[in-house]
Amino acid sequence: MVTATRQDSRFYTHKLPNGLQMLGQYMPGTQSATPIFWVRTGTRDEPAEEMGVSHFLEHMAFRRSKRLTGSEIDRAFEEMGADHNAGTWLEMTFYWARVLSENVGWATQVVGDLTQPVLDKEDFDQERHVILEEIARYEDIPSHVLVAHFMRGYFGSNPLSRETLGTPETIKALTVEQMREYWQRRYGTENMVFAIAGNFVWDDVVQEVETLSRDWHRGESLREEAAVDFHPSMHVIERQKFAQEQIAIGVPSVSYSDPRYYAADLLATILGDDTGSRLYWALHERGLAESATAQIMSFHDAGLMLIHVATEPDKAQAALETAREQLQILQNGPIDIQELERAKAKLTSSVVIGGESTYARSMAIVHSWLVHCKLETLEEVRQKIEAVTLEDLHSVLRDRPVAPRQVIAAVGPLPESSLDAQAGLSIEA
Amino acid sequence: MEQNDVFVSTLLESGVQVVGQPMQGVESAAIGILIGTGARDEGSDEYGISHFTEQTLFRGTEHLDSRQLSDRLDSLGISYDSSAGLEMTVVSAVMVGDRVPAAIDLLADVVRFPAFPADAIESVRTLALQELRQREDQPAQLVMDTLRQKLFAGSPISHDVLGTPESIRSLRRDDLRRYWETRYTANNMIISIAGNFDWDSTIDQLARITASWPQGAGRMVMETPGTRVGVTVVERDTTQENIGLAFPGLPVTDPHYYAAALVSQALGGSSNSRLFREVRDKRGLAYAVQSRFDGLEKTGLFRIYAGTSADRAHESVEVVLEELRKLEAGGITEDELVLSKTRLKSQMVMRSESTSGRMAANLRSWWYESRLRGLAEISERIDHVTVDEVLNVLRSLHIIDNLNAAAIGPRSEDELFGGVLART
Repeated sequence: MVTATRQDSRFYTHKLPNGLQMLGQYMPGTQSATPIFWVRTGTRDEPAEEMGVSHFLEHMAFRRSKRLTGSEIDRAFEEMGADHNAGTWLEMTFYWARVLSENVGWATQVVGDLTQPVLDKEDFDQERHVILEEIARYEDIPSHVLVAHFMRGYFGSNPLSRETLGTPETIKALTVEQMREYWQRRYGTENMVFAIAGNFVWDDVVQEVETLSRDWHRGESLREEAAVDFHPSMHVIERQKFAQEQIAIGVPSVSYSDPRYYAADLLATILGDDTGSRLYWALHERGLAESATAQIMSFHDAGLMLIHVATEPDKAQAALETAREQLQILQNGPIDIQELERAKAKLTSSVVIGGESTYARSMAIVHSWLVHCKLETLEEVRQKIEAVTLEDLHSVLRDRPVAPRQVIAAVGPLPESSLDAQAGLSIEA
Repeated sequence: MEQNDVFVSTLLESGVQVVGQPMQGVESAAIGILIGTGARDEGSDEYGISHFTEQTLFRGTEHLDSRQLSDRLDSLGISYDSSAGLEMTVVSAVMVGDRVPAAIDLLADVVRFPAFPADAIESVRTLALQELRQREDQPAQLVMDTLRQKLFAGSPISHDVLGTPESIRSLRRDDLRRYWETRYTANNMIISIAGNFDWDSTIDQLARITASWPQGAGRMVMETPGTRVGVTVVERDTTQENIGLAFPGLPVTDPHYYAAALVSQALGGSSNSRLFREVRDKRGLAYAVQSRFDGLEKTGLFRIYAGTSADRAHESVEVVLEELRKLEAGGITEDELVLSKTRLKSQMVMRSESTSGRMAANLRSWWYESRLRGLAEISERIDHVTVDEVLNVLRSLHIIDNLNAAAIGPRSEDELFGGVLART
């Protein structure tokens, strides 16, 4: 019945003379394509006093490019019916548009333009208001406040502790000259990757990007690495305006280039997938927490497993103890082979299903290139997941123990004194 | 586009309606079972029962306890979900195509043979109460829900899907069972499948499984609701002021439905929209500002949201109101209409690229219209809308006269709406 599956896809790679790396994956049966311009820069690459410049710059990209005014940019996306956006995080800034295939060339041009902003002083002062509103908005979102607080506690003086949005103080102090200097340094072709997945003609796309980027500068592609000092600790902040208590527990895990990445990912799935995981049964199903999940957060040179629990203030202590008990059991107890098999089935299935979206595939090939310097087929990813053994899981646990040493953070109505990490288990081994 | 417009549908002897759409080039399939019942169909002593019942479904069946069920779904890599809304309840799953038969068996078991274990009910109750309190921590969501409740006050369409703390505490196992028995009946269900699956064998399997399923009263009749004007301000210690404005729209089956959808696009559906330009780009008053339009069976509603600093909240209200006045008086331009059409059509095609998007669109279309509409047909309807039609629709809605406003944040009603919005 099915003649060609989206997994029968073709990969393309090409490096332009100016240093810009191009990647592509043709997906039969799709009508859309998603071009992405990915800049290998983010909050960790900012000078400390300019915290938030990467994200602010991403906003400025939509204000005015060297070829288009802000309203021309908005209008162009509108005319092509694009689903489009941009994102900034600790190690990345990316711009994308998902469009029907007839608009691929145009979308590629406009998204590419976004990486060449004018950075006008007047626009800058105007957009600063929007950034300050965005910071205020996130101050009202409990899970955001928690993760920001946790990252400060976990990473301490390491740049990975920084906040992508910056703070009202750093944003108010930032100058357009500083932003121009940052752009000049970080937005060169050597530090960028272009990717496209879906329905497109590769030769046309190469031509388009080559013409578009002819005058782009090369810039630098360095990234300072800094060791992470892991210090078990507890960080509670009281926020009476929130109704619920949010708790984070973090332990070291692998970086995204680590060969044990899938073993670590499967471990997190066993422990804290949304459904059917150990935390699900111990906390959610018993009504102890509205949500209790674990996930791997990986970076270029570091990684951690983050456990997130959202619960009622009066259940917070019990929820924290139960979650920590589960970590202890994972560290010291057996793992059933069936648990591993189920986690593999979930993960491979989500790889296949996720592989059917042109946006997800475009993001995935960028990731694959940055980590492995090659494009992995879904079949290769599936085989890597299938190959993980119980011994691999135990080996990750030996190298990156999940208990008893942990960093714990909590945000909500509870005062610091009413949450006790010492009950039952100690943070320090 | 044509290949994605091949539909199949059949009414099984049991009364279950099945709609299918085989798709080329995908490995996955998505299955959804719609049960025609939701918050609007709840009595005053059972608010939240649709959601409560739906949350209990995966907690064990007469054949499998909750752990066996969960393990079985996980071992097949079937990712599943359930949700209850205002008008419908949906149980759905996505999987690799060769697992469709197994997934159908499991979903059918969940929908028709839930065990309602006593301990599971208590756990779901606790979580439902938590969910109510958790929404207090999401002021943007809360303001949108409040708007609907106030705009349609007095009609069942104002009901809160999450119920009230009192109703959630008082619901008993017998209430859930009775609700399930009367609503989860064969002739009140639609099953939709899209993606990589075989239609003939699927229909055989479904006919066999559902043969013994009982019929019931079917969908409950819903009156066309009236709407109310009003202002609701909840003073709260949040950083931002969360401002919402609502006015009535049109039902899904209305011939002018797409004109209403296009208005919402032009008003606040993108970064090129009027609200985005006036509130965010020109004045930097908000990071989040948008409008949305929801069509329902007998009515529809427009909602506008803006999150702003407290000291700029009043100005934001003024700017939004001014845009609404202009919209009602002058409609949208030909240029805005063309752009909104492109956007709406393109969104629809892209959403339909995924098996779960297709499955859900078909469920919705059958429930509201008892038929399936292909992308080409919908595109044609969108293309037919004119600026005059839009203006007529806008004037018939009497936006300014029918406004309902709500806000959650540090400012008082007077500080926010004083002098710009008539008190009622």
